[in-house]
Amino acid sequence: MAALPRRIIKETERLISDPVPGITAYPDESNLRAFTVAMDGPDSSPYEHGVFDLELYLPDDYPMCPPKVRFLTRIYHPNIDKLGRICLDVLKDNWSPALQIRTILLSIQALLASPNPDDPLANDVAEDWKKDEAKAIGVAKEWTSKYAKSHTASGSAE
Amino acid sequence: MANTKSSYFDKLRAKRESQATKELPVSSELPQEALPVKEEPLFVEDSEDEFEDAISVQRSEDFTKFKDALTNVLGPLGDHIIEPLYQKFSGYDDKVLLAIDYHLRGDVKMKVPKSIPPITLSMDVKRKRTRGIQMPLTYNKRASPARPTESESKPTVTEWKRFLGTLFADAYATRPYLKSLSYLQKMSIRSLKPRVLTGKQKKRTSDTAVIRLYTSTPGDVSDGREIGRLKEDLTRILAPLLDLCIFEFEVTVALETTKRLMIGDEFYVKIDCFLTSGAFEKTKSPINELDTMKETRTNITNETEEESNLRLRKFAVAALFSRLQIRPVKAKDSLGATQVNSSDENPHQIIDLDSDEDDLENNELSLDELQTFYSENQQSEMLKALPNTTTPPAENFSLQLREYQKLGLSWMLAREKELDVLKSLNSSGSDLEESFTSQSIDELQLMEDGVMNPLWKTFRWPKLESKDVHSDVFYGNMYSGELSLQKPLIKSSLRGGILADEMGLGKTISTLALINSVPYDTRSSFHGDQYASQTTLIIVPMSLLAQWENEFDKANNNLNHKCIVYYGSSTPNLQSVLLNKTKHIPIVVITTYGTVASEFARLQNRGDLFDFPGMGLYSVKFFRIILDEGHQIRNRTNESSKAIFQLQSSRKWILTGTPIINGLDDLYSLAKFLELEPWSNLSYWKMFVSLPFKQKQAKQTLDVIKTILEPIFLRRTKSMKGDDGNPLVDLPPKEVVIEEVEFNNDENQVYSWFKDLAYKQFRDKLNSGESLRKHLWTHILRLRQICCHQDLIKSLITDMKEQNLLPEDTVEHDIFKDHTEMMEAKYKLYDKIDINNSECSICTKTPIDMSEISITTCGHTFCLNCVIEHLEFQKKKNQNRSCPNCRGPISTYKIFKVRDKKDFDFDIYLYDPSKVSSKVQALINHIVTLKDQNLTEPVIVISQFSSYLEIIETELLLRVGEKNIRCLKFVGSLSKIQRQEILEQFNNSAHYGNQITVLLLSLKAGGVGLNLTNASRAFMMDPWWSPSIEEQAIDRLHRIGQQKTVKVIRFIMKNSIELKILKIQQRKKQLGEVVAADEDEQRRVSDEEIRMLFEE
Repeated sequence: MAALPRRIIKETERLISDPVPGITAYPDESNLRAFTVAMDGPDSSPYEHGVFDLELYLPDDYPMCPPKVRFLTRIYHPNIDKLGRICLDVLKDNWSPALQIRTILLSIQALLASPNPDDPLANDVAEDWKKDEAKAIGVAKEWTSKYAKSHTASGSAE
Repeated sequence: MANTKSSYFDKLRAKRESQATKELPVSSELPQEALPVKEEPLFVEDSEDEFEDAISVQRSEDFTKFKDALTNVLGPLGDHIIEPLYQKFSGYDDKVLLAIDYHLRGDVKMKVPKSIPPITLSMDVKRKRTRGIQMPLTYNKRASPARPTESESKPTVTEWKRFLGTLFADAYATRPYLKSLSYLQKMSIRSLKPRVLTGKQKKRTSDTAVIRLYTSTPGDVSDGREIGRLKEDLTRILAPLLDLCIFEFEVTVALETTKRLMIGDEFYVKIDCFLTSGAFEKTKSPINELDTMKETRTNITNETEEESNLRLRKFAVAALFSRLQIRPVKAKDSLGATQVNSSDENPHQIIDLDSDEDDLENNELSLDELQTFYSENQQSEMLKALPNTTTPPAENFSLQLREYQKLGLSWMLAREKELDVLKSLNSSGSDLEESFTSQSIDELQLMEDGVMNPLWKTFRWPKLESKDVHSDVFYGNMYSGELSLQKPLIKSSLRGGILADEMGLGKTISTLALINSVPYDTRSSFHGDQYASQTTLIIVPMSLLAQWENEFDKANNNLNHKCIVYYGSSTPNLQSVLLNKTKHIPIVVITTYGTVASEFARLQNRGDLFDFPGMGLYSVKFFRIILDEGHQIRNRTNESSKAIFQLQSSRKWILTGTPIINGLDDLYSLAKFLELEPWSNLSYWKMFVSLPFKQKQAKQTLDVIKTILEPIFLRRTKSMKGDDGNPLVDLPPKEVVIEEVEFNNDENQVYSWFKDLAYKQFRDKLNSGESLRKHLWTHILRLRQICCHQDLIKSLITDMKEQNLLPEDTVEHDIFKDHTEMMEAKYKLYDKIDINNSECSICTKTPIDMSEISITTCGHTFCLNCVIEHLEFQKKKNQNRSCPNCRGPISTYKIFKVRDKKDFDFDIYLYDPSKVSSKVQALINHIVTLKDQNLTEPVIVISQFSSYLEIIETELLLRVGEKNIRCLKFVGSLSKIQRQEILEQFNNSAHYGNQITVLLLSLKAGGVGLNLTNASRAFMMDPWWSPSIEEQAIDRLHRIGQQKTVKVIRFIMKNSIELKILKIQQRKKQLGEVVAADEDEQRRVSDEEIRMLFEE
């Protein structure tokens, strides 16, 4: 494997010393290109009070290509499928090496706050969302409490 | 082995004796029955041991059948006749037929009973001893009145003779004989030559000799009556032997004739052959003889009688030995211990006496075998007796030697016959139990003296009762027919040898240890006035000059010991420096092959070479000469080699890791330099090495080579294990990674154009049958250069572009339409950028070094490498190329760079991507990554094109930035002083902190000798035809002193000719190619390999 570029080291250091509010990201001890991420559901969203686990991996070509990110916690969201894959432009064609891990994670958090059923990844969820948004939000809330860790619990633990 | 052998002999002897006593009284019966049963042949051979063991069980039954069948046809025969026949043929289906045929043909070398001839022999011997020449039973040439013409080559006295073996032969009667011949009836034998006295014919007499048999009675020579002759084939062998008094023969009738003899009747005789003392008298020295043989070949009619005798002798001795089935004792041990030939002879073999079968089987010797031969067989026997504790005197030598180096030093001292020094250097050691005893010194002395001439073979006398003759063995040279009772030793006055340790085992150190152990010639003052008895001359390739000097200083501990470099314009008058009586005389003079050659050429022009001219290298005789990388003189006709041969010294050494490069003849030059008699004689060498090897007698040739080299040759390899079971050298691991690089657009176009051209040529030439190499070499070279950098063939490409030969760019590039557009874009940027606060969003560097800053048309700054990498990546993904920061369109052709400009803050200029090669880009990426990780230890960049190294240097400085990188270039064109400076700077890399030191190393200049263990990373920019050359270059890093894992990255262009070169390398590796070198090799890239290059 190629040596760890300085940029990754720098980014990692900053993620730890100056974390994004509501997001924690730590590199694996065995592989400094793999991160374990915990993301709070944004306030006033169906995912509020939930803490979602994600994994993030920096390919060899990073930062020329985007990091690979996936939800590990089940989530009911039109742009996130059953496997936890995320439909987000900056993770695909709109990636730019000027973006970083922290900006990507913020984008994902923003996606949670404003689902976009017009550009769906999980088609059934998007259908539900379009048909009856209120009901869909209800399911999302239900799933959040069912699958995600409780934010308050983790908050109080801290 | 020895035990079983001797007990076997005892058994045999006991058996024979008992048989002898039992059978002796019988004398007048049928001969077959009279002969005692005799199963064992004279010359005992292993195969028969085995035979007995294996076959004895089923034998008796089978044998009885065989015997019955045989006697049915041939009448009653004794077991002594049937037994050998049975042994010979029992393995064949038609054994009875074969045996009958064999028996009747009569040229059987059947083993005879020993009971009778030995008795006559011992009588004869005694009688001869007392009476001198007069021998009753055998014809002595001197007494012959029939041959008045010969006297000069005749041995003086035949003092004794000794039984060697027995032949059976047919003779035919030349006159009627009234009585029937009776068994064991004696005959005398004479060689008669026609009495022709005219000049030329006289000289060829032996060819027409006749051997006559006479009836005779003991004690009566003259009275015999001619009865018959031997057949011609045997006559040709026996006649010269009789004439030259080498052999004597005793003939007895072996088969009783039933009736009287008529003219032409055949009868069967037994011939006992005795070697006489005359055979062992010196004839001529082998070398002279060889010369005459050479002449013989060119001008056979003018053969002198002496030469003719030698030729006949050679033929006759070899032929008779072969008929008698006398084989040399295996030359297993050089000390001459006697061993019976543990023969490979097949018991079932028919009469294949002059068989070359063994030879034919092992003819093929691949070069691979040769290599194995080197690493495994060339361990000098002497080593075992040598101590591995020899430590050079500390007052002279400051370094510590490894164990095997100490052993090597012992060997070198022994080779210089400095046994006293060897002893003293060991006794001073604390390790008493391992200290070197005087006993082993004696042993060494013995070995030193006891090297047998490889052309000679040891023969064993038949084990007989005649114990009164000196020894068990005698020696024979089957190449010349010479025989000797004394062991023919090579009397070599040679002091020195070949140290051929593998690269990286410290030949230099070992040599310096030798010099410091024996710096002066302390013994001899009789070498003449010009003898520089205190000075060792070391001749090295130019690239190593500085290194030797450094190593000398490092190893030297004695202030009085100086070393001077004799090179270039500053050459002092050697005679006055080395021969003066007052000042300190340098103990080492280092010079280069080139210096020697040019001095030689100068002297040759003046014509006073051999007269110890005034002042140069040829004006003195050195104490010792050492050739480093001695394979440089492998071509003996080369001027430089000739120059080296003419240098004088009393001790000579050759250091080389690769003694053989092109072929066995490479070794001749080494032997010639070392004055290794007799091999330094070219006709000798050709006779025993070149010719046999050409005739595909590889195995024998290698045996000869082995014998030649064994005493003077030492080679150890890295993988060899020391006494402690560990490898001699424990090096850190080595990782070689191939990194495939893709062409960029531009390169791809140029490459495919040239490739098409080359393929077209290839197809044309393939059908025409012309040499592929000749026509395609340039094309291949161009393709390889494009893989490296287009600028390597810049002018060619420019020309072609001008002539519109290169195809138009098919891909549309985002290029400035014209100069004006470019200038406009450029001037916009002056306002937009803030050099001191620049940040690269790709690698997060801030501020970016001015040398690295690149600016897009949208005004964003990046490190140039980052943005290029980004653009390449997007291109690969077929994405639109966009600015990472604003996603606006950007293009490789629209990137600006910044440079310092006098009187201004900076200057913006357009970056030209066509000047960049993908490979250089890949290299830069690696170096930048290393730099980013603060891995600032020096790296080595290796290429075979020195012009490429120049381009790399420029680009590295430009792209990585002068602040970050320091380039040193080591190429062939540097002078000695420049080289030394470069190496010094390289070794001081640690002082340059943040700067990465890059040593740009030309494959050829850096292939040998250099020590670059300071670095552990190397980048090989382009593949070379032979893997071994690349290995050599890598071994500059991977050698003693290297602490880290050596990491090598080899850049190879994808889908290019380079991949195919890798294939060729692979193939060469499989073939086990002997290390090949420089320009010779280019010539050796074969048509077949060129075909491989063009395979799809």
